[in-house]
Amino acid sequence: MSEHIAVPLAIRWGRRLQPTWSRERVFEPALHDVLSQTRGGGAPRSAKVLLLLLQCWQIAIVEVWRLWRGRTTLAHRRLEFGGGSSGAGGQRSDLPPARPPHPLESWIQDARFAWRALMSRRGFTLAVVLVLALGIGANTTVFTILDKVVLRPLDFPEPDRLIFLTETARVDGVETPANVTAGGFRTWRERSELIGEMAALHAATLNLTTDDRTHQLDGLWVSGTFFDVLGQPPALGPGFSPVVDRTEREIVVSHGIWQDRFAGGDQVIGSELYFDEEPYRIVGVAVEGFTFGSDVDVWLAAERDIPRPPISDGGDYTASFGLGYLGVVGRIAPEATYSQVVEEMDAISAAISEEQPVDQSDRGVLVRPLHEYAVGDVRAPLGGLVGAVALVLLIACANIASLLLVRASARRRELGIREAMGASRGRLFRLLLVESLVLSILGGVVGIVLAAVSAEFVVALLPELPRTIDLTPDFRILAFSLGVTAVCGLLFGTAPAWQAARADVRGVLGSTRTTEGVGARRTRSLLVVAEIGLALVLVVGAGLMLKSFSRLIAAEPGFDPTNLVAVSLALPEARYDNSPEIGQFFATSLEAIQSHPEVESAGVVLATPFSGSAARMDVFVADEQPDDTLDQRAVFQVSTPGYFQTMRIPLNRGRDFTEADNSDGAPAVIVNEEFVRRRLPPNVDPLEVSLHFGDFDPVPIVGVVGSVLHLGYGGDVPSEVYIPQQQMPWRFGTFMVRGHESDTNLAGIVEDAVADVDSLQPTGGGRSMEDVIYGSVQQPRFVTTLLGVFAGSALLLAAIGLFGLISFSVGQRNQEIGVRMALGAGGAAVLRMILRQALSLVGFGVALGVAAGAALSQLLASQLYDVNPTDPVVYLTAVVVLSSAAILAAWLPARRATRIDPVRALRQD
Amino acid sequence: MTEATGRRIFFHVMSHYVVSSYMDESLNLPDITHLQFLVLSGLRDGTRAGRDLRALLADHGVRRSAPAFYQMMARLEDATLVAGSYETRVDNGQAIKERRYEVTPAGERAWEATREFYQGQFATQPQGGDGV
Repeated sequence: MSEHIAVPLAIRWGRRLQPTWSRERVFEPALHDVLSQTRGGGAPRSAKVLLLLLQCWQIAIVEVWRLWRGRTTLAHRRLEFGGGSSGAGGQRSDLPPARPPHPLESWIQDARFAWRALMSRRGFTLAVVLVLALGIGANTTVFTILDKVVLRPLDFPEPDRLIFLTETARVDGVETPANVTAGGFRTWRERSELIGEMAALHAATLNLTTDDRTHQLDGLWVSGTFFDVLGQPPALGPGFSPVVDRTEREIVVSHGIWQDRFAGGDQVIGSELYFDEEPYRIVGVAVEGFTFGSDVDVWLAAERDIPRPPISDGGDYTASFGLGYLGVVGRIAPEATYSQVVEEMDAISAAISEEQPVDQSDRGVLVRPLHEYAVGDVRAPLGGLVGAVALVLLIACANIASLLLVRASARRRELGIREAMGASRGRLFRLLLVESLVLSILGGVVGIVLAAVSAEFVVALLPELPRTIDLTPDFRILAFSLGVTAVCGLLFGTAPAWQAARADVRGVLGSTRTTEGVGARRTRSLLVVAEIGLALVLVVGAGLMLKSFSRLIAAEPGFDPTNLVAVSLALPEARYDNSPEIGQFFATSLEAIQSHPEVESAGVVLATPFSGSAARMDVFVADEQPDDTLDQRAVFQVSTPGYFQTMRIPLNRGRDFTEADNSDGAPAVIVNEEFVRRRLPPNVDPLEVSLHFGDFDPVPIVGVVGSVLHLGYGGDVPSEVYIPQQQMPWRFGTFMVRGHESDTNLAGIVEDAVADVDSLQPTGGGRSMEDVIYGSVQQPRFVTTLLGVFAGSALLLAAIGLFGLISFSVGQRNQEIGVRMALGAGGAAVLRMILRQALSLVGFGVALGVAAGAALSQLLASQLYDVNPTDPVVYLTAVVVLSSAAILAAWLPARRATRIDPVRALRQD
Repeated sequence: MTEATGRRIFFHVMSHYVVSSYMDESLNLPDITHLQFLVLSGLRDGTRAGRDLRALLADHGVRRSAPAFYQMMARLEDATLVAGSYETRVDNGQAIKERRYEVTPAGERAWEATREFYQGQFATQPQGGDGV
């Protein structure tokens, strides 16, 4: 922003933000002097104006502090500025009388009075400040997570112009996102005029060889324009060269790799790293903290600017429309808009569907803002958590308001005297409101400190999020916290202040009773009803999430995860460039593993269930009638004999693969039950059906196995097709190993077996399948747990509120109860009377809560799995739980009422 | 002790007593500081602009930022020792609002009282090197 714009803007806002009492006499003349000085040159005008604003604010703060300390600017005090001190000089009679009080003085007086009043009741103040601190601190923390993960734009230049593109496929009539084919990407890039630049990407697991060791690293194959599209070129080095000029393999390494392996030196550029025994020249170091999706160590420039597919039939892969495996990121051209891009891509996709009827007839394109793609999945749950914690704070504020109402009732006499001595009702209202604001400021400050101190601890508890975050509060978060603090103070302070200011002076001064007024009693009852209603909303929400989560994890995964470990690896192309070598490696390693005495069984598969990764191919049933509504895709797996047995996936029909299903044997496939259900007519025997895919001849189905939740809990059960690993050896594979005992080091057994076959081949470390399944539901578990904590807190607060109200009411009605008991009412009758009062409040609160819960639970609908947002069982359970807690809270003071001594109560004045 | 010494000591004690009595009866400490005295001095000749007063202070080696200076002037106004006003003038075709100050009668009296105090101090301060 140029100085010609910035300076007037700063002056305008600086003027508005100056306190009224300093604007005319300090800010304006000082500004005039500064502007006059800058006409003569020297320091930039903007710098001087900024300095002026800071100085004026400093002076304003000092003035407020002086007023607080009682050093007002009355004429009969020595003025301090200039080095003088307030000496012992007496009042000079010839000086004019003191001027009217400074506008701020009365506010400062109220604040000082409020401070003294709160300090005189430290227990009460401490309790309120603690409750507020916890509530405001929790709100600050949750909002910080939402802000830094979802609300803030991505850390790229002009992030709103970044888009992520996927293909779509029709599954059960629903358009679902799918990976992009190489042919699709190439066509998009050639034909789109409104997307300035596009880059394709594909994840890779690489073996990095250094000296005599080999490590596995996570990498990303990308088009050469990848960093240009994101607008974040490497911090060091020239980056990828244009594909036409590229003469060798190029990589960009992460900041971490640069520090660990090159000690942060400049010699990194031009150095070589060996991946899969091929040399790659380092042409750049990424900016520190650069991430795109998951953490990656290296970015490799794709050879033809389009990453190679994981499987190829030997043809030109860049023209293939059959295998989807790419992600695509793009930047909208400067002159185009997002909606124009969507329209253009729809047209291009429609043209491709017509040109490629075999592979692309049912395909479309989905264009999303990159920010939406990155954080869209967590926006709803995080937003729900923010709402839930805000409700807890509301309930806490209602509780505090109720306490302050009681306190105001006890101070009616004091306030009545003040009014009798001339204080206006407005002044009394302001006095009590300032007291509430002081309380909320104390609670807010402690809450912000709590949030800052507990940030690291909270981050450790969070599930995996799409962006790495730092929970340290910044200016934006502080502004939010201060806003919440102010709102809290007004929320819980207004009602008590209003009630107290309306006290009848004559009635209060003429009476020695300190009973609560009718208005205050009604207000407290309303507050308790609101608390119960809000608490019920939270209990319902937690109940729905709990039921959803329990149904989510109740689904059978389709295999037995106990004592089962997955160990993945990727063979380097340099040493395994043909099928027999790959097949020999896996067969020999597997045989060694299976023969280990601690291993029950083992097998190899391409992609582990619950891993989130799946290769899909179009699979056609021989003699199947063309059907545009049918999704031809199936998850493509390769597996070895013993895999299904190891996983305990039932073999329902036919046979498993055997040693005879090798490269010399007849082709065979096994399908899962879901494939049979979706693709084959009911009266057809699957074992008499053949499939064909790609350019392969039709392959007969030899077995049908049970379906597994390959995509994890909550995902659709996909059709799966298994091919013998020996007939289609892939360089990527996962050893699935089941041990006899739970504490066996199965990953170590695999590592040793692999090392015996190939000492240079690393493995990726083992993961227990129980951990994999547990980790797959980390996010819904976290949300459900947190909601449960909030609901429990809300329940407790509401019960405390009701307990307090009924206790106070019993205390107020001591004499009345005494009279009733003196006239013959028994303890049971008194108990019923008190409980009736409580139940009427609970009834209203429940009605309010059910209505609000039914409305607000619709917001949770997208997070629920197989649960209706208005599930009556959940609502009924929540009502029973809340009512039970409320009745228990009311029963204690009601029981106390039955023990009132009528004689003592009647003597009470 | 010689007689002369004794007389000097007696005179010193008497002088001190006279000075103390004089101070207790007729010279209260001034209510304004030296800096404010200097500002009021500058205004006794007539109304001056704030910038000119700042320049006057700078000539005496006192440099304050514009906000600090105008805050001091605001306090002097609150104490009714000076009166401030805005005057609009045209400079190179541009209207400029300038803050101007003039001393009030109360300010004049405060200045006079301060001057009397210091003059009184100079009048009663003993001369010489040995305190007599």
